[in-house]
Order: sequence, then C-alpha cells, then structure tokens
Amino acid sequence: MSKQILTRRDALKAAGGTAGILGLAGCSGGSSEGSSDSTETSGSTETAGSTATTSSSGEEVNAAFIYQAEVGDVGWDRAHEDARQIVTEEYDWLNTEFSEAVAPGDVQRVIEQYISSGMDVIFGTTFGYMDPMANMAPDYPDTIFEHCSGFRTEENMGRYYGRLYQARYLCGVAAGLLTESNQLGYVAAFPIPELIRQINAFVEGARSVNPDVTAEIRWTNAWVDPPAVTQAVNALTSNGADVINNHQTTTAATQTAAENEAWAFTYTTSMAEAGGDYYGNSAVFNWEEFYGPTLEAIHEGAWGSDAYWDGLDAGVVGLGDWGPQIPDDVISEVETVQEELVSGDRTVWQDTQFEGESDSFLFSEMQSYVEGINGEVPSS
Amino acid sequence: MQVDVDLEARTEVPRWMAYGTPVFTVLAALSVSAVALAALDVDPIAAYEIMFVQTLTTEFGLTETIAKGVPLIFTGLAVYLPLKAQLWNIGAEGQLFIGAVAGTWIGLNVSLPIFALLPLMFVGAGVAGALWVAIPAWLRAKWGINEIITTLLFTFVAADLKNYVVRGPMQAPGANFPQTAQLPAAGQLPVIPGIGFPSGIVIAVVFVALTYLLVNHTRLGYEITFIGANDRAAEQAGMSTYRIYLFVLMVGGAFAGFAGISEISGVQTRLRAFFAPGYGFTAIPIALLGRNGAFRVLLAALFFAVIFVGGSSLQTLLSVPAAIVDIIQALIILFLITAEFFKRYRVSLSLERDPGAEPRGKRPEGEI
Repeated sequence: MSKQILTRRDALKAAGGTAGILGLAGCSGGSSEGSSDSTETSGSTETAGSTATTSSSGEEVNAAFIYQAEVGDVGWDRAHEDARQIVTEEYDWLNTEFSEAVAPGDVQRVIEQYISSGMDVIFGTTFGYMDPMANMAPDYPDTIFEHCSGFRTEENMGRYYGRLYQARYLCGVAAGLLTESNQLGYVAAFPIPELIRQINAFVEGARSVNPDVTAEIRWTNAWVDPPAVTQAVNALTSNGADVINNHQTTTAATQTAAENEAWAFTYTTSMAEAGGDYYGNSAVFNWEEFYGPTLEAIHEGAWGSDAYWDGLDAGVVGLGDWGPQIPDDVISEVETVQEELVSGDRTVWQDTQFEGESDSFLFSEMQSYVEGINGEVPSS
Repeated sequence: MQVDVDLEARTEVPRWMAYGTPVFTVLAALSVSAVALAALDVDPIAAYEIMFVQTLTTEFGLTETIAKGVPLIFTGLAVYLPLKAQLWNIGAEGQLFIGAVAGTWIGLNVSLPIFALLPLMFVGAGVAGALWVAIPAWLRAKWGINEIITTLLFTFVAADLKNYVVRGPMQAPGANFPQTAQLPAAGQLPVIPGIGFPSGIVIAVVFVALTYLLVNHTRLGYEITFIGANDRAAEQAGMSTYRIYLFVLMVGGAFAGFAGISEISGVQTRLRAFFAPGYGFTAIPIALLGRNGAFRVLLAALFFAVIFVGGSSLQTLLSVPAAIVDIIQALIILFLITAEFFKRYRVSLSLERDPGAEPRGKRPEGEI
C-alpha cells in the first residue's frame, strides 16, 4: 500500500518536510469550496505505484474505500474489506486505501482528502454517505463515486448493492428443512425495506419447502447491541423457535442460538465459530464480484454510472460454508433451489403479494410481511 | 514501608503551571502515542505533522476544524454553564437531538426567506432543548434529584423520539428510509463569503461572548458562581438555588439545541435515524478543560475539533487504523484531564519506614 500525504495548494510548504519520507503522491489544484475544476491532479511519483492521475485507459487506478464502522472480525464492513484485499491483490495496476469509523457527517472531509491525495474512485459503503457523495459528485467531475445501498446517482456517481435476500431465501430453505417445531425466530435491527425484504425472503424460502412454518421477528433498533440481541434470541427460543436468523453486526445471535440448541443462520460473513455445532450458514456478500469488474471498467476507461443490483447469478451474494452438522440432503436440496433461482425457474417472490413488483418497489418500498410471519412490521 | 499520598487544594496556581501544563501534557500524551505509531511502522513525527500542523495551516484543515468545532462549542457551553453552578448536564446529547428535531421540523415546514428561517430554526431548536431539560432541571431544583442521572436517562428517551419522528411524522415522503426530506436551501447554514468558513462559527462565538458576559459581568452570573462554590451559603445570603438551577440547565439545554440544529443545518442537511454525533458527551471533557471561562470552552472545543479532524487525516493519509487514532485522542484527553487535577491539587508523597509494621494488605495474625 502506498503511503500518501495530503498536499493541498496551501500545504505544500508545510508538507515539504515530510514529503521526502512519505512520498509526495499528488497535488491538487482544488479548493475545499468545491469549485468544478478542483480535481486536476498532477502526479509526481516518488512512491512506487502511486501515479496520481485521473482515470483513463490503461493507467493505474487509485481507489479509496470508506467504512462507517471499524472493521471487525465479522459483519458488513468486514465483507467490504475482504473484497478490497482480494481486488488489491489481484490487480497490479490498483492501489487502494481505506478509512474506517467515518461518520456520515465526516465523510465529505475524508473524501476531499482522498481526492487531493490522488484517488480516482471513492467507494462509500453505508447508506448515510449517500447525500454527501451525491452533493460532492458534481463538484468533482473527474472522480468516480460509487455508493453502496442508496438510491441516488449522478453522472459520475453509481450505486451498487447485492440481492442478499436471494441468499437469505436459500438459508430459509435450509431452515424449513431443519426445523422440527416449525417455528423460526429472527432478530433484526431496524424496520426498513432492506431488512424486511430479507426477512420475507428467509421465511418464503422456508415455506417453499415446509408450508407449516411460521416466524416471529424481534426488533432491537440497533445494529450492534449484543445484550438486546441475546435477550431477543432467548425469548424466541423459549417461545419454541428452533432456527434463529439475524440481521445484526454482532455474533451474539448466532452464539446465543447455539447455546440454546437452535440452528443459527446469519449474514454478511461467516460466523461458524460462534455457532459451533449448531451453525447453519450465512448469506454472504462477495463484493469482489462487483469491485473487480467495476475497477476493471475504470482501468479501461469504460466505466459508466449505473445502478448495480445483482444477486446469486453474478455471485455477488451467496452462501458461505455450511455448519458441521447440517445433513447432506439439506445441502443438496438448497443447491437445487439455488440452481432454480439462478436459471429463473423459481423466483423469491412467486406466490407472494410481492410477485411481479418492480425493483424500485422491492428496494425502497417493501414495508409488510409475507404470510407466515406473526404480527406486523412496527408501524411508522 | 508505607507510601502516604497527601492531597492539598492549591490556593493559587503558579503561572508557569497554568500555561505550561496543557502544552507539556499534550506532548507527553503524544510521546506515549508515538510508541503505538512506531509499532505500526508509522513515523510519529510525520503523523503529528499531519495531525496538527497541516490541520492548522491549511485552508482545508481550518475549514474542517471550524465546521467540527461549531457543535462542540455549543455543547461545551451546554455543559459549562450548569457546571458553573456545580450541576452536571450529562444529557447534552439528548438536548441536541431534540434541538435537531425541532429545528429541522421548522426548516421543512415553514416557508420563509433564509434570513428569517435560519434564526427561527435556531430559536425553535433552543427552546426545544431548554424544554427538554426543564424536567430534570425542575426535579433537581425542587426535589434535589440528581441531575446526572436524569439528564443522562433523558438522552435515551430523546434518541427514541428522534428515531420515531424520522420513521413517522417527519419521514421523507416516497421511500421508506428513516430520514427526513432535505432542508431547503433557505434552511441550510451558508459559508462565510470570501473565506469559506461555516457561518455557524459566528453564531457560536457570539454565544461564547454572551456567556462570558453573563458569568463574569452580571449579577446573575455572580449568583451562579456563588451557588456553584457554596450553595448553602448562597441560600443563606438570600439567593434562590431553585431559580438558578432552572436557569443554568435550561440555558444549557438551549445551547445543546443550537448544537443540534447547527449540525443538521450546516453539515448533514437532513435528519437521519442514525444521527448520533456524540458531541453532547465530548462536551463533558471540553467543559472540564474550559471550566475557568467561556473563552476557554471555545479553545477546548476547537482543540478537540483539531484532534478529531487531524486524527481522521491520519487514517486517510497514513493508513493508521481507527483504533490507534482513538488511542491517541483518548490519551490526549486523559493526560489533559489528569493535568487539571494536578493543577488544582498539590500532591505530596512521603515514604515512611517503620521496621515493626506489617506489610500492607496482610492482616496480622490473631487479629479479626
């Protein structure tokens, strides 16, 4: 990884002392008010492999990844960070940097610094970055912005997401086959369309192989709140659920489910260690399947702003490794369903009230449960 | 051998100490942090040059520092003023949320030109913040119920209220995302023409000056300080702690409300469910460092802004992990607060040698 130093117009003098140590990687003619010509970058290259030019065919590409949380062992940011490492390893023309624990209120500053230090493309990986990125994009026409999980695009800002609900559906198929009590439990963070979509898909998957299944949902109103998650899982299992899934950036649900001898499913990354013998599987993101082709397009000068929302067929979402005690017939049944989903013989929303709905509805308007889920989505 | 630690409040802080300690303690914190940086193969000198020199000498760094400093100044005052009366407003974060909600509501629902809308948003946010803390303030003033507990717990209620309104009455129409619509241009704080600094800083400095005048040059301010020093004596002298307690907490709540709306209007442009900047909690060390005057609160808030902005530059420019940045920031704060303690108290250590004494922690045999 190259080490780069911020060298704005006014900072050149001040930076002089350290430039020798660190490698002067790029200097911007920009000003922080965001004038439209603010991304001319003239690269001087002392550090090997950090040519700071704007993207054009065959040049090196400098990409910055920005995460809202600190990258932990598991979870959302881990999945992006794993993918960053994979693509960085794969392409010798690619340099990457990343910042973690960047609150949405701070992201504009971080992006401006990255642009002045010669970054060609900015990947923002949380919903809250959408407005700042969309507001900045027109001011930095030579920089490519890619925003994950939002709905705004600009000429130089694309958006991307994975249809994780398809992988949730597969977990649901396994859950429907595994459950003996026919009761599933699910601990989720916030009642927003993304989470409701995944809950619905999970339950739909289970009911596709076992129509008697019902599910109970608990909301914690927090992404990370292990004590609340533990309580919720305890409540669900004591009500009879013997398969637990969750939408939380913590292993608490998986671990508590396993302690209560319920099958544990999860998402974003594998949590096999936390689940032990009761681990089912995880609906995972393989973001390298998006980052790789996107960076190649940038490298070749062929990038265009679009709204990427692919799923199992593109490989950007999928299942992780199965837990040690999952029977082979369950695994092979899930594999069959996966093939049907990829080939189009089956869709997640067939026979539900959402059959035939547009992507736009699925993405931002789904706000009710499918049949089989007890209760209502918390009203807003 | 026995070590005796004696604490003695200083009656007078030597001048060299008053000015020297902040500098030396920051340097000490930085040299400890250098170990962590060196362990990661990051040159500490280069890192500190980025963190401090570049943040303070570039237009970009200064602008960002001021943007970050504005809400910190307001929340700093929100904790500082009650602290003058020896009350702890731990719930500035909650008052900030309520101010953000009220101010954003006005910005979205009242249609006025910018010179009228912005002041109205600030007034609304201030009133809302003041009312939010009024219950804990009254409980403290009337019944002596500990305001540390109540203001803190009210923060959780405020957070839930904020999370509710962005999913309910104030949710942006069209999509089911937990956020309000974007404020109209007339509801967004502009930058100062010419220099590009966020205009919130002007409002913040005005309120610092007003707070200074209030505390140092008014009868009311005298009563606040007197009550802070000795509430019983003040009562005996005919001052009303009831009135002062309500006053300082509610004005503090208004300041926190200003912080909320200045952040939404100046930086975020809309209220989102996950808006929880933590400025209300950062305000506590800021007020501790600045407890001797409103302008010191201003300086402390700007100093925190520098270490936040500079700290994040370490990540973007030197790939220093966020955890290390946290450690550096925490060490600086810890060292500064500790230095405050040594400035206020004289510590003397004495060694006593008594050959007959039992080692400490070991009960002599036969004794119960």
